[in-house]
This record gives sequence, C-alpha cells and structure tokens, in this order.
Amino acid sequence: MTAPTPATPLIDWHALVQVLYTSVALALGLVVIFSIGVYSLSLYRRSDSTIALRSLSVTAMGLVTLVILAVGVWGLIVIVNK
Amino acid sequence: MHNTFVLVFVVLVAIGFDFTNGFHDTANAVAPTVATGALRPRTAVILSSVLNLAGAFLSLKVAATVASGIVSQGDIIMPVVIGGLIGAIAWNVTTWYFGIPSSSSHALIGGIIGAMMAHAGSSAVLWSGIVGKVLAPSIAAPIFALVIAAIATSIARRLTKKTDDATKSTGMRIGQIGSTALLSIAHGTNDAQKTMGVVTLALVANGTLVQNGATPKWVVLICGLAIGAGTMIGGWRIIRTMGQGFTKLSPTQGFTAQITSSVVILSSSHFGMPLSTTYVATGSILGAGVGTRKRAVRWALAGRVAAAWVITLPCAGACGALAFYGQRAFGVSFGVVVMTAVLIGYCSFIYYHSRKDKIDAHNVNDRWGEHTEALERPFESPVEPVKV
Repeated sequence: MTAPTPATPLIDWHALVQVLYTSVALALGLVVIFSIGVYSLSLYRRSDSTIALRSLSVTAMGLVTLVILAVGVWGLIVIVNK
Repeated sequence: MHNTFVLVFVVLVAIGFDFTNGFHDTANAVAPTVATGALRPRTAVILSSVLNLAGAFLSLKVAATVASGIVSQGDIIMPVVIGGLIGAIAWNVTTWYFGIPSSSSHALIGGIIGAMMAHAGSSAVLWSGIVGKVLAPSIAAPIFALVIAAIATSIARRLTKKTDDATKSTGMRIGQIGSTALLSIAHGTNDAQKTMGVVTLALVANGTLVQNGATPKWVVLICGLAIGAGTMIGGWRIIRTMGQGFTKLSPTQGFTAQITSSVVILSSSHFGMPLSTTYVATGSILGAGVGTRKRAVRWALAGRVAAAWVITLPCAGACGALAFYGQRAFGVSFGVVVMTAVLIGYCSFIYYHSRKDKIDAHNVNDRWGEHTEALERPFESPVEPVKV
C-alpha cells in the first residue's frame, strides 16, 4: 500500500509569507540605512561640523554606499537567475 | 500545423503586444521619478527604455511558460494564441486611454483564457491555477506594497526630520534613480520573456522549431527592441495617474515607494511567487501617501483603478474570445488578417481620441484635474503637497 500523495495547495502560502517577511526586512532596512546616509551627508555639509563629525559622516556614507551597492548586485543576480 | 502566413501574423501581433506592454508599464518604473523631478520626463523614459532592452538579454529562463498552469497546454492552437494577444492589446490600449495602470500580464492571461474557452470550452481552463497564480497574487501584491511603503515612508520621515531640505531632496532623488534602473531591468527581463515565450510557442506549433528548442536569437532581439521602443514612447497618461493622481509625491515618498516596489518584486521573483509589477508599484505609491501625516490619498481614484483590475481578466477574455470567433468565421488565414485589421482600426480610433487631450512629457506633471476629463474631473478632490 502506498502513502497518499499530499495535494498541492491552491495558493503557495509558504512562498507568499516568505515574500512578505523578506520584503519587510529589506525595504525597511534599506530605507533606514539610506536615511542615515542622507542624514550623514547633511551633517557633513553643515558649516559648524567638526573634523571628527565630518569623519564620522564620511564613514557612515561609505558604509551606506557599500550596503546599497550590495543590494543592487543581489537584485541583478535575482533578475539574471530568474 | 504548417502555416507560415499565420505564423508571420502571430509574430507581428506578439511584437505589437510587447510594444503595448512597454508603454503601458513604463509608469511602474518611472512615475515617481518623473513626479518628483528626480529625472526629466524624457530622460527617465529613455533610461527605462535602454534598461528594458538590456534586461531582455539578461535571462531566458522563463520563456515559453506563458499561461502554463492556466490553460491546458495540449489544447493551445495558433488562433487561440492570436486571439489571446489581440484581447490583451485591446484591453491594454483601452486602459491606457483612461490612464489606468492595469497588469499587461493579466490582460494576456485573460485574453488566452477567453480564446481558449471559445475554442475548447471551460474544461480547458485550469481554474485552480487562476486562483493560485492570478487571483491570490493580485490581492496580495498591492496590500503588501501599500503596508510596507506606508511604514517605510513614516520611518524615513522621522529619520530625516533634522536633515536640511536640499540635502534630503538630492539624496532621495539619487536613490530614486537607482531604484528606477533596477525596476526597468527587472521589467525588461520579465515581460520581454513572456512575448519571447509566445513567439517560441508559435514556432514550435508551426514545426519551425523543435519541442524544447532554444529561443532563437532573432526572437530575443525583436522582443527586446519592441518592449524598449514601447517604453521609449512613454505611457504618459498612466505615468500621470501614478505620479500625480493618487497623491502628491515628495522625493522621500518617491524613494520609499520605489524602493518598496523594487524589493517586493525582486523578493517575489526570488521565492518563485511572481507578483504583478503594476499592482506592486500602485500599492507602493498609495502606501507612500498613507505614510504621511495627512494620509493624503485620492481613494476614489484608487477604487476606480482597483475596479479595473477586477474586470481585466473577464474583459480581456471577452476580447480574446471575440477575436477567436472572428478568425473562425473567416477561416484561419483570412480570419487572422481580418481580426488584425479590426485591432489596428480600434487602436487607431483610440489613439485619435487620445490626441484631443494629449498627455506627454511637457504636461505630465501638470496639476491634477487639468487634463483627461474622463479620468481626472470626477477625482479632483484636493490633495495638497505634504512636506516630507
């Protein structure tokens, strides 16, 4: 006697939930990171900012750029592998 | 079946569909960029067009999967494919005239379902596939995008509260350009392949190409060029609805809307649950409006667009069925010519009427309510710009 084959669900709830979780994490993460980058640029441009503050701003902007580029590359990989 | 004459018409009508797909969906990638002035309208459309063309060459993995799991593949014949394409083009052109962002993919699926029902009855349609592949994603896509974009806008607003306006505008606009590029590439890869799939299917059905044969290079080239050319023309009426109609977008809102669209579309592709780009982009823009303090969104307009989404499948289906019956009435070869001529006549009629209240790169960002009386006047409720 063979075991009954499980029926394929009408809607792929698992994939849908994964899309939701990933989208929430990535979108909100990117917006937070990018907003920090923009705020850092604003600090860097301020006339009264110290050298230390400017250095910190430049470091923050560099990190933000790297993260954004990494996400862009991931996006291209997803598109190519689709 | 060997009928080169009909095959040529399938290829021509498929290219026509790809072209309408291009100009209909330009708005998904560029509407917020145009609305916030991150790029000039013409520049945004040219950038999107070039990247759509590039995207068409990036991957060929989903070619020949159009309508799989939606209709019985064994029952597909050439007139069904042509009927489906004609139905999809007719619906795309109609919704473009009214400036309504609706899914070109759903129009194609609807057209093929209609033509298939006319050919082989409703038993040839896999209804469970429609629920799983069309209806569920249609409901999920805009809701996901709306909620995420609303939260993202609210967060961005708080985090950049102390940022000076000039830096904020510049930074967010740069972010918008990046996400526009990514969305355009994704669109070119995804949507050009659907048409490549249709043409490949026709080549196989005609015996020109062996079963499971690779998509010929010329098919990739013409599909890429068609979607790129369509994007270049710019579906200004839909860009206007998405960029000016739903809400008045600031650079921050434009950025959060586009980053949400990019992430949701790429995530859905990654997990094998492709969601409609149009529905995601529309939901993101609405969410960006909801995320502001005033929640300034024209919900009546959004409701009308949602109603158009609901009727996309049946209306494109009805057009597809009519196109199929038309072909049968005149015989396959002559019927294809007649139905293509009817389609060209209908498209010309719509284009002629659209010229009376032309929307283009020069007036796409005009105040909402000044153009296209049919769409804008009933939804002219004031939405004041919100400083975000």
